[in-house]
Amino acid sequence: MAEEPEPGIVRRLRMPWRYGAGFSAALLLLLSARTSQAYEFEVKAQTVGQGATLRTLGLGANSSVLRRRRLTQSLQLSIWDLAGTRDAFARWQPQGPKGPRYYFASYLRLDHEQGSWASGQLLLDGRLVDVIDAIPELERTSLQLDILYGYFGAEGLAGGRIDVFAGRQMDVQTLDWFSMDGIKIRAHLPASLQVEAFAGLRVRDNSFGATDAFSPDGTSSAFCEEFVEGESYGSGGWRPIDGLPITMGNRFTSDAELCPQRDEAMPTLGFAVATEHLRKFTGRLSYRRSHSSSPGILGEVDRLDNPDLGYYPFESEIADSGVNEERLALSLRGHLSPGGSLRLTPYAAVRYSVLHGLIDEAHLGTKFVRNAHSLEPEVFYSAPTFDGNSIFNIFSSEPYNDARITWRFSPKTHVWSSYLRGWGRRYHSEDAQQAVDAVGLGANTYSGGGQGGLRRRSGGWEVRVDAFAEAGYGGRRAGALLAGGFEVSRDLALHGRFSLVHLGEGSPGTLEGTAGGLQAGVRYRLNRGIATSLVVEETSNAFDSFALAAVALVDLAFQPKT
Amino acid sequence: MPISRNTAIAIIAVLGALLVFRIATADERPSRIIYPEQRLPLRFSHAQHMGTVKMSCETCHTGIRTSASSLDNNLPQEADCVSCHAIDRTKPEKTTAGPAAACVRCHPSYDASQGRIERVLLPIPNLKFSHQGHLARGDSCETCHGDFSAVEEASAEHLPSMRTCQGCHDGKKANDVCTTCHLAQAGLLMQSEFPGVGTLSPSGSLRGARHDMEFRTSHKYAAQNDSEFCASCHRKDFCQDCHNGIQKPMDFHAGDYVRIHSMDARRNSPDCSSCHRLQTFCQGCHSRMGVADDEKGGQFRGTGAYHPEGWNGGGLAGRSANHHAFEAQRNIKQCASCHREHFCISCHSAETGGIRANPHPRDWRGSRRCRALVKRSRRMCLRCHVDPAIGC
Repeated sequence: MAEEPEPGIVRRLRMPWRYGAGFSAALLLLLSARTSQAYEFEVKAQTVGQGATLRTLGLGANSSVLRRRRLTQSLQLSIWDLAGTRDAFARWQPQGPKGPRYYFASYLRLDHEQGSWASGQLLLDGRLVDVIDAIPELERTSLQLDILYGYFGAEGLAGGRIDVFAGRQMDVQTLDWFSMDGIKIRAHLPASLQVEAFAGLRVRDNSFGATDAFSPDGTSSAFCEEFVEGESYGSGGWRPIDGLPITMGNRFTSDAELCPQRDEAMPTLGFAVATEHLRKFTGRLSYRRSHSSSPGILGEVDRLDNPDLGYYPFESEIADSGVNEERLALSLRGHLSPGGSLRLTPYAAVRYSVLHGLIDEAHLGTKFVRNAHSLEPEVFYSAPTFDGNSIFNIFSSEPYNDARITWRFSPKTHVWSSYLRGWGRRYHSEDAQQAVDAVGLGANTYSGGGQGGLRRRSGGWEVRVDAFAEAGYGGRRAGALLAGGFEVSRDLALHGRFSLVHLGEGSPGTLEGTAGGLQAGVRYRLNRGIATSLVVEETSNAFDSFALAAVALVDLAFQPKT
Repeated sequence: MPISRNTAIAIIAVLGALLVFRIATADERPSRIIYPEQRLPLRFSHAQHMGTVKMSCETCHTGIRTSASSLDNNLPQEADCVSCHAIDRTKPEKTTAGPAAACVRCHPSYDASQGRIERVLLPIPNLKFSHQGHLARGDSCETCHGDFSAVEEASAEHLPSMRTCQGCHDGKKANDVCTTCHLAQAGLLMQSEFPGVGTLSPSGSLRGARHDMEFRTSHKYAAQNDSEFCASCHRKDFCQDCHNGIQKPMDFHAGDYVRIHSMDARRNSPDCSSCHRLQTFCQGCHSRMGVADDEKGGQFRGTGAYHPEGWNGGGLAGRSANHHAFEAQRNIKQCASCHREHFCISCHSAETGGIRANPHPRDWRGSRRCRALVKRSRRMCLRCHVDPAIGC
């Protein structure tokens, strides 16, 4: 049990922290402020260094080994209870003082990836150019500052009925998640309901300090072209935007930056209605829409032989904006105790893409739980959809259905745990059935497999084995993983993992072989709140005799797993 | 004596059933994380005191009505016992006609030669609780602990489980915020790590979210309509560390995952887009390794070495089972991990000098999907159709 704080004074620095002079100065200012007795803050920092070799799938003698290195520094800073002492009391007492809570939460990351191909130059059409200009995607992982989130929260306003969040925030919003720079307001209504409304700019890979993982998926931002007019209006073609002269000589910029559509802001708005404080039922209905303007005149960026004034053909005749994403989703989940120790969790979820005019994800299942055992049959439906700018929305037309069943054994003692899982999938071709039959695709419209695992934890030991087998569309794969860990002491823990997988790819390709991997790791806690980890992984397969990877990690504000 | 195969199978089946029954029925105990392992080397019959002698709980647990914290030790002390038991430390083996007074009667570990007894170990529960508050509201001891009039020795099994608490803490009758009872960290995040004791994880009784060994692959459906439930214990950085991670999760993508990821990618199972994006992650790595369709450096570009025979051509009627159209319709993400949009447009564009192969699904014109896309994202159409009058 942690010690009781002195009434009214809560300052808790959970770890020694040396991150940057500027930020330390800001913290000192905060600490020295007259209101410093009224808040507490939390800092977590992590430094991860990674090194790996990757063998290229070269043609014969062209195969080579790429050496990759990556250094990542992350910092999570949260300042709680900015205007009162409610949190401090509530941490230790069942009921804290009434009133709103104000706080700031942020998560920053500085990521530097380098190694073969991430830097350097190559000869292209007789010109020496930065590799990063030739392969724009490399730029994303060279050196970047990510602001994963950073927002102010005010909860419990208006007598506990209103919460407000402002800033960069990520949100799980029924069947998917997104991030935006904006404001979200949540109202707690009677009848166990809450309503959310939000508006802002969608965070995407071109937003300031953003990571690409927040972008709507598609390819619209991967390659930037403009429509170059031909001899008559509308008769031209799409050509890469030629911006090389601008960015030459700078390793960390690329032509990809000259992408007008990707630079357009993406206003996003939406709402959600959800249950709260209901024990037997939870539900959530949400709507979200993101759109962006169609870029206009390129101006001086364009230096091609046949200059064009616009990004799209018939610039003046297309819509001023287009929808990137528009989704309506509903999720319902019951939590029932029909009798005895049996518990039921039936659930259903469906998402309708208004942009595509179709249901692109649906899920239905029930979990039966009795003591340590659970059984969960479920069916799942998915249709591929993409960012509204991507032509893949036209090409990709085949949904699939999954049927799955999972048995789990998980007693509270956690000594033994186990699971078995089976699944089958059927793809639904939109092509005429006769065409499918004609080419013999029928046998390839199914896939399925199963996996199972067993774990034992006891006295600082943990041993786990998983085995799996899959076949059908996508290929055959069967293998097993054996993992183990041992806590030598509270400060020192060892773990290792061995994997062996045999795979045989189906059409296309004939890749067949066995791959093995061996991992070994150690975690050492230097002090309370400081831990270091080292993981080394060696893999071997039919193509590579070895491929070494290593991860070293320094974790501040570390909480040991027990 | 040799054992027949059927006998052996029967023995194994019975032993297996017994093992499953033993483990399954041993599950409904109060959490050992909330109530760390106790050691009560005492002999005390609640049944005799409460059932036979008709004493009340407060006769022995004298301070219970003023106990406002779980830090309090509310076990009866010797002073509480002496009102009935004529304990005399100078006469540890004293016999009486009334209630027992000898040490060994209540302390079975009493060693007369050493004059020692085994100490009681009663760790502080990892919980906030005020007996004072609950009793003042009219709750009785039985409400949480049950009827003790037939119980011999008390143990951790008689402490209330969360299901008992939820009888009142339902959000209406009493507060159902987790940190009302559970210890909290900064920011009122529920404390779940207790060094030296263990990790507190959901039993599944609230949201069906038991954190079993397979939960990492199935947690989406517990989180999808009540992410605030997850936020009781996890901050958003916890999600980000995996879903927006920079480090390969060694257990999730174990071993030689680079070599075997193609099957997961082809089936999109698990959903790659939960953590990765086509246009950056997939293409970035494939470009780096020289397997993407880069005009500048793609090793397979123009060689025909990667895709199987029958990948292109044939028209609709003459397509082979290896034709790329089937792969693209099913999971174009695998195509997009090497190819960019303009690669598709070079053949499929309606206007720009390619072979004008129609990529639209059958019955596209007039379909709801066509109308929806044209209405909301017309500029996508203009990637292939230059004619601004295009429609459904």
